[in-house]
Order: sequence, then C-alpha cells, then structure tokens
Amino acid sequence: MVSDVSRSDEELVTRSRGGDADSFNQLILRWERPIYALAYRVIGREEDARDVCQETFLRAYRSLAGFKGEAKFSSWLYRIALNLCRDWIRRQRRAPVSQFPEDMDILEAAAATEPTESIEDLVARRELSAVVEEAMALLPEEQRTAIILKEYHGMTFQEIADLQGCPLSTVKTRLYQGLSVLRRQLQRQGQTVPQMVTPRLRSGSS
Amino acid sequence: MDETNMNDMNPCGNHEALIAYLYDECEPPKRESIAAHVALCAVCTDEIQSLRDTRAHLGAWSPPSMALGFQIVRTEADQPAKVLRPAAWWRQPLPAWAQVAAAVVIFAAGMGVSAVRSTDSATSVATATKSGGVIGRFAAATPVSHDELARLEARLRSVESAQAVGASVQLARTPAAAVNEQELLERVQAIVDLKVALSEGRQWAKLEKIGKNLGNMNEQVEAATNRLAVMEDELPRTQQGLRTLGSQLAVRTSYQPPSVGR
Repeated sequence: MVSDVSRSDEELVTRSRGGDADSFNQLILRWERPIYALAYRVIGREEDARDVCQETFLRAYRSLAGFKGEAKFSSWLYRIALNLCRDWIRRQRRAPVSQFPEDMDILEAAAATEPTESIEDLVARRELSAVVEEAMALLPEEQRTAIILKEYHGMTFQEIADLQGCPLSTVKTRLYQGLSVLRRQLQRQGQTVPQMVTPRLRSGSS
Repeated sequence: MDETNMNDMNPCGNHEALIAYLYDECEPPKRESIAAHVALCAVCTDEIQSLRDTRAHLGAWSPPSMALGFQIVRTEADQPAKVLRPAAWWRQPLPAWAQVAAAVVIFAAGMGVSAVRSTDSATSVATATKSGGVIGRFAAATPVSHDELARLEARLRSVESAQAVGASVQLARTPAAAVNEQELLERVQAIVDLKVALSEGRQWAKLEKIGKNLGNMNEQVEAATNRLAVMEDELPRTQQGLRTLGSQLAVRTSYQPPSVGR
C-alpha cells in the first residue's frame, strides 16, 4: 500500500477531492512551511503570516473542486497565498509596505537615506538576517515578491510572471531593480558586509 | 521561453540579459554569447559579481520559526471544514500560572458537574465517592444482554441527536419497544446512570491527576519563592557593588589620556 508520504501532490489532491481529509493534511504538512515563509517574507509579521498560511489552506480545501489541475498544486497554493498577502497589505497601510511606488527612482531614494552605523556596530547589534530583512522591506511590493519567489522558492521567470500576472520582461526588470536596491542598501551597511556571510554562502555566490 | 529583446547580445545596459544570465535562464547560445561579452567587459563583470554577492547575502534571511501543524478537521453534521492547529499550542508546556488557572477551572467545573449530577440523580450517584463501586452496582443490578444494550444505545443516540438539533422528538416505536415500554425505560435509565457513573470515574481520575500536578506546582512555587528570598537577601550587597562600580567608573571617565601623536 502506498503511504501518503510517497504520493505525488496530484494524487493527494485527487484523494482529497474524494473526501479524504488525511490526504489533504499530508499536502498541508508538505507545503505549510514554504507558504508560511512566503507570507512572512512578503508581509513581515509572524502572526499575520501564520494566519495567511492557515487561511490559504482553508481556502484551498474549500475550493478543491475548482482546482482543475492545469497548474501545479503548489503554484495554485502560492497564488492563493499571494492574493491573501496582497489583501493584507491593502488593509494594513503601515510598514513594511513599500514606501516607494514602482516608478520612482528608488536608487536615488535609497541614496538619500541617512548614513548608517559602522559595520562593527552593526554586527554587534543585529544579525545579517535582520539587515537583509530591513533592506527587503524597502522594496516595492512587486519587486520584493519577485525576488522572494525567485530567491527563496526557486521559481522560473515564467512561473513568477504567471503568479504576478505580468510579462516576462517585467519580471526581469523587477528582479534587476530589486537586486540593485538591495545591493546599494547592503553596501551602505558597510563594505565589510561580505565578511559576515558564512563560507557556504560566499562560495555559493561565485 | 525567452521573450527578452536580446537580439542585441551586448548586455551592457541590457538589464534583462544580465538577469537572465545571472539566473542562468536563457538559451545556451544566448548564454554563451553573453558570457563571452562579460569575460571581456570589466563593467559587466563587476555588475554580475556584485549582483551575485547581493544574492549571496539574501541567503542569510530566514523567517522566524513558527509552530504550525495545521490540520483539516471536519466537524460533524457536514459543517464547513476548519483548519486548526492542534499540534501547535497544546503540546507546548504552558506557563505555570496558566497551568494553575486551568487546573482551578477544571477542578471547579468538575465539582460543579458532580454537584449537579448528585442532585439530579440522588439515588444513583449521591453516595458515589468512588466511581468504581457505582459501576459495579449498576453492572450487577441490570443484567442485560449485549444485543439489548446495543439496541437501547442506538435508541438513546437517536434521541440525543434529535435533541441536539432542537427538533421535536418522536421516537420511532418498534413493536417490541411498545410492548416493553416500562422495562425499556428502566433500562434506559440504567444506561444513563451507567454513563454518568463512567463519566464520574473519568472525572475522578482527571481530578486525581490534577491534584498531583498541583502538588508538583506547589513545590515549584515554593522553590521559586525560596530563590526569590535569597535574591532579596543579596540585593543590598548587589546595590553596594553597583555603587562601588559607579564611583570607579566616574573616576575612570574623568581621566583623560594624553594624546598620542599619529
């Protein structure tokens, strides 16, 4: 007998549609971490990200009949989660919603911010993770989401374009602009930032 | 797959080409073309390298860990499914104050239930300080067969579910049931009492466990109180030490080292 663990997403979806809640619970087990991580990185709040994650699976379960299998189940989940994140951002006009509209010159805006502390102080006070998180929060929502989907969820340009409902060229532009702002921000934190990166990460960069 | 206008393979200023190259998402011929250019162009080499460094930094960002463990839980009567987090919260140890509060509430509720049931069915459970005796008594007093019990229980359940939805109950009478109505009612009463007794038994077991936990918590509270007392005793000494440190610091900060020639 094939256990749920070894079944494909599609098999589990079929069984779930037939009323097998355990199969759907297996799908949740498989995808709740990535969905939570996505929601957290997009909206920046733990509790709210967990709520978005929960709501994503609830909606997916209730809409199983409408899932035709044209896209991957995971893509479908990501779409639901991103829509919920977008709703959340619309409701919450506070941080970390982007402070710059997409067409604004954000490189200039980043350059205009106050100089930051030295890297020694930075290391003493914060971890690199927090530095990256702060830099990401500066990006417009579309750029931030594109980078999150690319860097942390390994999606192709085409998958991101489908999820964001934009042309491929727009995805690439968002990635380039987002990375450029991040580069600028991280450099402003001090040229020595790369020394804080673990050897694994540094070797991965080359 | 690649709709980018990369007819111009020179990636200088062509951000889309650079990004496609950076993420290795372009057709091999285009990739080779861009690579050949990057190898010769210092500007593009720097650009690619700094983008790679930036990407490397992004790997350091991980979301805070969060207890998840969602599960679809289907409620009865075909109500909409809910996603709950059963594993997340109750498996984690509660703070001591919450355990005490919960224990008190459960204890009080148990006593309340016990009191209500004692008055409702005074003849059956009022004297039942230990549930075991009560169970034994009912088991001996009503020797009914398994089939009879099953039938009765089925009827009981139908009555219960009918009551749960607030419908007016009309028992569907079978001929046998109609004939032995009085006897049936007695047996039903016996089963209800048996259920109460079983429930009481479980209540007592729970209460005993809670009592034990309360005892343990009492010890912990006492230990914590003792530690607090010790800390209070040490407080004057610590304050004295802090004052001494403060005065030493004041002396040090007032000291200006001679400037050293650079």
